Formats: sequence, structure tokens, C-alpha cells
Amino acid sequence: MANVTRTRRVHCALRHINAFITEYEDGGHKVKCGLSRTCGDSCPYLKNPNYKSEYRSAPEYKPKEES
Amino acid sequence: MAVLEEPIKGVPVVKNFINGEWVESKGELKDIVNPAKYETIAKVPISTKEEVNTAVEAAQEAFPDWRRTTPLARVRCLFRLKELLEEHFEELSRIQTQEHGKTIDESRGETRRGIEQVEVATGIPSLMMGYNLEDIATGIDEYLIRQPVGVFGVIPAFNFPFMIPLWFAPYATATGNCVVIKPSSEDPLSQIRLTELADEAGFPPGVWNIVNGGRTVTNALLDHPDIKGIGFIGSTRVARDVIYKRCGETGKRVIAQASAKCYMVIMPDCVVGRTIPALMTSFFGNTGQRCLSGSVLCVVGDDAFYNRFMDDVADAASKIIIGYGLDEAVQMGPLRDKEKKERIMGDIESGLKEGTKARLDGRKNFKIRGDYPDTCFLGPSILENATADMRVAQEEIFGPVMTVVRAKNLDEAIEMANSTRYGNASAIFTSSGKNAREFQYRIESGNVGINIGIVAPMAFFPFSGMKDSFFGTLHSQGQECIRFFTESKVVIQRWL
Repeated sequence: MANVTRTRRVHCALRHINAFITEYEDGGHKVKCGLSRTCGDSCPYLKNPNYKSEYRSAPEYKPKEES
Repeated sequence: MAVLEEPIKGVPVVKNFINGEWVESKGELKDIVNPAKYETIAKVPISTKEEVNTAVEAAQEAFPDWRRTTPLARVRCLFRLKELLEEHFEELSRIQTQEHGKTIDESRGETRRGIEQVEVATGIPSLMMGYNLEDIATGIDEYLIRQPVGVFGVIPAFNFPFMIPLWFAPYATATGNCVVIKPSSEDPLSQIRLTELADEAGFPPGVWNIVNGGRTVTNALLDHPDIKGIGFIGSTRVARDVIYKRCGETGKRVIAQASAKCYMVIMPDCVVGRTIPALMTSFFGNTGQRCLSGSVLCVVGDDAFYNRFMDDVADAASKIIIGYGLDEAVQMGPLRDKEKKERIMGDIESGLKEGTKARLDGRKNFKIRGDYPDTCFLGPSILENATADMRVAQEEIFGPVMTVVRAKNLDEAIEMANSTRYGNASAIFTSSGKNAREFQYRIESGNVGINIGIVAPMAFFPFSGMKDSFFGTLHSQGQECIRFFTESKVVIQRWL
């Protein structure tokens, strides 16, 4: 069995909860989340551990360059 | 990003839920309108006083058995309800967007905050415990127990149709009481779905009831002698002059949360990059229809800071994507109805007449993403040059309008914020602990944010509020809510 490389916490924008992604040396990953059973295959992190919602609740702020 | 499928199809007629049965009301029907499309999606009855009385009788009859049910057995219904809410999370969220207009992300957030209330209430076997002390005198012990009170009425507002009833119902039922909920007649559909799930979760008949309607239902709940207390969220006028007053006259407990005028104080040492997005969701999130929404932006600092900061604020506000909340790209939905839009347009006009200057005028020049009528839509407005005594800086607008005042220093900013008659929430944006502490200490506000735009307490803390934003003693949520729903009984015993 491959060794764990890291475990990180993510914010799931679909459920507004935290979940954990464990990544392995062989490139595999596991999702640890209290709602895994409820969400089933619809969990976006199952397919892509680096999933990030495109949604932004407000326009992105970019500070202007000082002139 | 996609436009999501609508869960409400056809035009269903909403029923009441009394004594474990869905029953048709004899009352007149009123249209429920999806404000983004301006089309009728359901019809809700304006129930009669007799229907309220039937519900209260059913609840009163269910109460003795329910209070004798063990706390563990009672919260099993809540554990099951929590599971069902998770299973139907997306459906419930989309219903809120369809009936209210908020964005799907805001609806998902609302569903989560509602579920958290159920989660906290499952802790009742511990939370409801009393306390004791041996030997208060020789051979005498004293202890306190908490007992349920009876039947409670819940009268929520339109702005969080799913979450607000959950500030009360889980705690009320978990402590052994029964409830009669009157959902907002403007958007009752997510509440109806919640009640279907509560029924499925195993609450016995009569414990959780729904009676739809308006003023008649409210009055009938207030008048009924078997209603022991009322949880209400709405305007100050109704909270103070109707709910609080009548509860006093009829001897009911009351939590009446009311209007607000939330100040957001910007210090020159704030972290601008984090502050601007927080202000956008604070002032314009939920289209400003939130009693915790930022309403007055109070900027402290010199002209150079002010001008630079306000350029950035206006720039960000003008980029907010407006449209139908089921379109996942949208950042601000419509107002709940066209009457609210017209009232807010009037407030903007009166603000301009008072002498403010519109940096952004949400009444014009905004784009709606997609092909939707503009009937209920407004863009974000920013009114500069306001002073603290103006009506736009004193009275609740409940829409996407930012009134901007300036203060010389923190003292003046706190003075301005405290000059409003409301005390729901205020926030300061600063990187100075000294400023933050001073603000927290002196601000007359029940909920205080430090670098937080939406000062919403979590389920295990009370949703505070003071001055004309709250009428009552104990607040909703957390331990205070458990005290509200229970009678404290003190026993002093000596065995001879």
C-alpha cells in the first residue's frame, strides 16, 4: 500500500462544509468527509482532489498598481 | 457555470400540516412569485383563526406525551431530520432560490446554517441539564431542573425562509415542547418541504405543525391562551408594537428580533484586499435583505485614503454579477418582490434629496445576466456625502444600498454608529488590536464583528441584538434559547 504524502483540509462550496483529502505516493487519493455517503459519486473531490469551485461570492479584488 | 434545474414545478397549492396530516385550508389563496422570472410558482392559503386554533389544540394534546418522551428519544427525531436534510440539501437550497431570489450559494449557506441548528439541538440531553448542590443547610440539598413549557408559536421573516424557523423549532421540540409555525406567506415552500422531512423523521402528530397565512394567523397565535411563547423575526414596528406588547398583555414569553442599521467602520490600517470582498457580501449579499447586512459604511481617515478606498469599493460593486440565483455565476439576485424594489428606490431618492451623492445608482445602468424581466431587480447603490443624522444613515433600507459617512477618528465613528436606534450588528475593519478592543467595548450592538462583514453568530451562541433591534430577554440559538423553552424549577429537599 502506498504511503501517505499529505492530508489537507478543503472547503466544499457545494455543501458549505470542511472535508479532508489524503494523497498517496502512487498518485491516488481518498476523500474523508462526514457526508461521503450522502453525496456519493456527486462529490467533486472524488474525481479531482484539486477541485476548486469557480464561484466567487463577490468580484475578485485586485489592488491597483501605485502610480 | 450552469443554470440549475428548478425543483418546484407546476403551481402547487400549499397545505397546512396539523396533527400529523396535510390539510387543505379554507382560506383565500395568494400567489407565490419567483422574483427573478416574475412568475407564479405556487399558491399559499391565508388560513383562518379556526385553523390556528385546531393546530394549537393538536399541539396542546400532543404535549403531555411528548414531554414524557425521554430527551434521547426526542433527539433521535432530530438526528434523523439532520440526515434527511443532508440528503435533500440541494433540493432545499434550490427551493429557497426559486421562492426568494437569493443566489444558490447563499441558499446553500442558509441550508447549512439551518442544519447546524438541528445538530446543536441534538445535544439537548446535556444542554438541558440542571444543576445541584448538596448540603445547602445541614442535611438539605437543592437542585434545579428544566422542564418544557407547552406550545410555542414561531413567526419567521421572509428573508431566510428555511433557516429562521430552525432558530426555534429544533430547540423547542428537543426540550419537549410543541410548535405551531407560521411560515412567511411570501416564501413558505422550503418550510413546507422541511416539514415533510420532519414528518418523515418521526415526530409524533401534533408536535410540529404548520399553519400558513398572514396577520390573521399571527393574531390568533398571539391571542391563544395555550400558546406559551412566541419566536418572531421581522420589523421593529411589528416586533415592538404588536408582538412584544401583545405577549406582555397575554403573559407569553417572547423573542422578537427586529430591524437593523449595521455600521461597518473602516480604519485606515485595515487590510484593504480582505476588506473589500467582505464588504461586498456584507452590503450586497442576499440583495441587502439581511438584518446583519452592512448598511452604513463609515470611513475613518484622510481624503487620500478615502478616495482610494472608495474607488476600489465602487469598482468592486459595479462588477457584481446580477441575475437569477439558479445561474451559478450570479452574485446577486433580485429583491423578494416589486413592492420592496419600489420602496427601496424611494429610499434612494429620498437619500439623494437629503444631500447624498450617488457614486453608484442601482436604479439604472445595471445589467441582468440572462433574459429575465427587471421587475424585482436593482443594482448595488452607493450613496456618498451622507451624514449620520440623515434618514438614509438612521433607518433600515433592507436592500442593496451602501450609505457612506466619514469620521475623523474612531471615537467619532463609534458615536455615529451608536446614534442609530438599532443595535443588531456592527463591525470594524482594522489591523489594530487596540482599536478593535475599544470598538468592541463601546459599540451598542448585540453582534460585533472584527474584520467580519456578516456578523452572524453560530448556532451554539445566542443571536444577540439590543436597542430597537430586539425585544425580549433571552435570545434565539444556543443556551439562551434552551432557557427560553424551559421553565426552571428549583427543588429543596430534606429526607427525615
